[in-house]
Amino acid sequence: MAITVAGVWKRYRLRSQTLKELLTDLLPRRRSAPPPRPKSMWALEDVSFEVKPSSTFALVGANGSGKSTMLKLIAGMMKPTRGSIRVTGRLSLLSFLGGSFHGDLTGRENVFLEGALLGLSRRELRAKLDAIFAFAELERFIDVPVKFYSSGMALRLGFAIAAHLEPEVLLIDEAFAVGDTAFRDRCLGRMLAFKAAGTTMVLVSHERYLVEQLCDTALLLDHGRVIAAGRPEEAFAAYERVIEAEEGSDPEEREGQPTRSPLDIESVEVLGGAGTTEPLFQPDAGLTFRIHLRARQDISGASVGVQIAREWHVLHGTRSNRQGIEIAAKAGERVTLELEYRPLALARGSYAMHVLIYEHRLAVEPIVVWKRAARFRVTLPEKEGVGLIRIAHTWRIGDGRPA
Amino acid sequence: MTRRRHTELQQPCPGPVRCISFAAVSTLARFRDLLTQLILRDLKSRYKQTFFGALWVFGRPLVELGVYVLVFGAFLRAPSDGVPYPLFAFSGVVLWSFVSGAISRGARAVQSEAGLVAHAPFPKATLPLAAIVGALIDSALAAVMMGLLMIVQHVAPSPQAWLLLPVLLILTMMVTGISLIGSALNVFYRDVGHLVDVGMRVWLLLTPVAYAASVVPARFKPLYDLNPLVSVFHFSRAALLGSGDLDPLALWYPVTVGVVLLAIGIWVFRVTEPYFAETV
Repeated sequence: MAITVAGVWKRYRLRSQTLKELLTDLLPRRRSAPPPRPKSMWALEDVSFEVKPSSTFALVGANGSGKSTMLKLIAGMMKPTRGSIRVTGRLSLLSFLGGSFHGDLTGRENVFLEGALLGLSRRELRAKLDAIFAFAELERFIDVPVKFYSSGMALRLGFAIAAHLEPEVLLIDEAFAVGDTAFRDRCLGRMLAFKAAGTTMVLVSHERYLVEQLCDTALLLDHGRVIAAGRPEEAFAAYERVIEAEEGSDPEEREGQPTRSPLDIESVEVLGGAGTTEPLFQPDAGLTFRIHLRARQDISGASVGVQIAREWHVLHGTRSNRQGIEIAAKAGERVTLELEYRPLALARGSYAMHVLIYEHRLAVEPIVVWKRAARFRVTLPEKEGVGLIRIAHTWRIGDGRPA
Repeated sequence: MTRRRHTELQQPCPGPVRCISFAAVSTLARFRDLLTQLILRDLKSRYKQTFFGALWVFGRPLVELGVYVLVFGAFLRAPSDGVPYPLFAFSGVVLWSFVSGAISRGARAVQSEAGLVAHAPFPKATLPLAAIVGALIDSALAAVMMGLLMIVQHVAPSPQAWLLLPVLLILTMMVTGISLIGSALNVFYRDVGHLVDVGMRVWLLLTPVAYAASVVPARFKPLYDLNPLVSVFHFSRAALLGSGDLDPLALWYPVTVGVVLLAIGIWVFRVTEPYFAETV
C-alpha cells in the first residue's frame, strides 16, 4: 500500500490556555456562570483507509468534514491523536500554492524558495526554471517582483512549480479552486500525466466531475467520520444524501394568519413513492399529492396552491382555481384535494412542497402558507443529465450530411 | 522532517544500510537547500524598497557605536580595559549584535511564517536557523567595520585573534539553543516574544558591551558572572585587542551553558514541532 491510514483520530484544541484562564479555572465556578466553551473537538474519528500504489484517491465532504486535516496528517505535518499513518515513497503536498511567495522578491527568486519548500534541489530547479515559467506563461515576468503579479499569475506560478515535481505520492488540496479555464485545463492535463506516470495521488476536491474522471476510489467524510468509501460515484451519491439530509433539516413552518383562514390544513400525503419519511420517486412513476383540509367556517370559493421547491428556488407553482377547483364547505366539514404530477419532470435531488391557502379566487396573497409541508426525492440515472429539471434527450452521432 | 525520514526508510531498496544512508543524505541535502533559500530570501528582501539599501547593515552598528562613545565614553567615562574606548565599545557592539539579532529574530521565526508552517510540510527548524545565519551575516559585516576601525586607530590584532573562532562557536550554540526554545514556545504562547524583548534589553545592560566588567563592585561580581557573556566578551577582547589576561579556562562556564542550552533547544523543538501546524 502506498498509504495506510489505520484507526486515526485527531483532536484539535479550540482555545489556548492563557494565564488568566488558568487562574479562573482554578477558582470555584459561580452557579450562574455559563458553562465553559469546549476546549477541544474531534476533527477525525476512527478513520481508516488504504491507497494502492499508482492509484488516485479522492477525499470528499463538506467544509469542516476533516478532509484537509486528513491530508495534513498524511503529509506528516501533524500527529494523529490516536492511530497510525504509513506512507511509502517520496511525498509532496500541494496546498496554498504560491503561499510562500515574498512580494518583494522576483518570480525567479520565489521559484527557488517555493521549490526548496516542496523538496526540489537547487540543481533541479535551475534546470527546470525555463520550463516552469513557460508552463505558467510568465516568461516575461521572470524578474518582476511578485507583488506586481495578479493573484491569478501568482497561482499559476505556484502550480507550475508543483507541476515540475517528481513525487511518488502527491497530495493535492483543492488546487483547482481558482484560475481561468485554459489554465485549469492545463492543470488537469498535468494531473493526468502524473497519473499516467504512476504517481499515487490523493485529491481533496468538491468538483464531482474532476473526481469522477480522475479518481479510482473516493472516501466521503462528514464531521470527521467516514460515511462512504468506494467508487467516486458511490461516494458522491452518499455525499448528496448528506447534503440533502442537511437541507432537509430545515423545519416545516406555517406562516400567515391561520386564525383568520377559512381552511385548516390537517395533513398532507405524498403518494406513489417508495419509502416513508421522504418518499423516493422514479420520475416516470408520477407523484400524487393529497391535502386534507377542514373548513373553519362556512366557505365558498376558497382555493389551494402548491409549490415544489428545491432549497430556495420555487420550481413550479400551481393554484387549484386555475383548473376550476374551488372549495365550498360548511363549518367543520372535511375536504380532500388531490394533485397529480405525471410525468414528474424533475432532475435528481431532494424537494419540498409548500401548501398555500387563498381566501377567494381573486386573492393575490395567500392567507396561510405551510412551508415544507412534505418532502420527496427523485432518483435518476447519471445519463439523464444534471440540473433542476429533467428534459428527455438522446445523443447520437450524426451522418454528416447538411440538413 | 522526522516524518520524511520515516517515510523514506520504508521505500523498498536493495540493502537496508544503503537505503538508510541514502535517506539521511537526501533529507540533509533538502534541509540544506531549504536553509540556503530561506537565508537568501531574508538577505534579498530585507533591504528591498529601502532608500539606503544594504547600507543599513553598516548604519545600525555605527549609530549604536556613536551613542556609546558619547554616553559611556564621554559622559560616564566607562573603563575600557586599557584599549581606546571606540574599539572597546565596537568589539562589544559586534558581538552583541550577533547575540541579540539572532535571538530576537530567531524567537519569532516560526510564528512569523505562520501561513507557511500551517500549509507546507517542511523541516521547521530551518526557520530559526535561517534567522540566526542572517544575524551572523549582519554581524560579519559589522566585524569588517571593526577591522577598518582598528586600522584607523593603528591597533594591530593580537596573535591570539584566531581564538575568536571558538568564541563564535560558543555564542552560536547559545543563541541557537535559545532561539529553538523561544521560537517553539512562541507558537503556543505569544508571551514568549514579549519576554524575549524585555529579556534582551536587560541582558544588554548586564553584559559588558559598553563598559568593562571592572566597574562591577566586588560584592555583585559573583552574581554578575552568572551571565555567561561576561567571560565570553572579556575573552574575545583579550584575544583580539590584547586587553587583559587571556585565560581559555574561563570559557568552561559559557561552553557548558551553550551545550546545555543547545541540547534543551533541540529537545524542545523536536517535541513541539508536530504541533506547530495546528497551533500557529
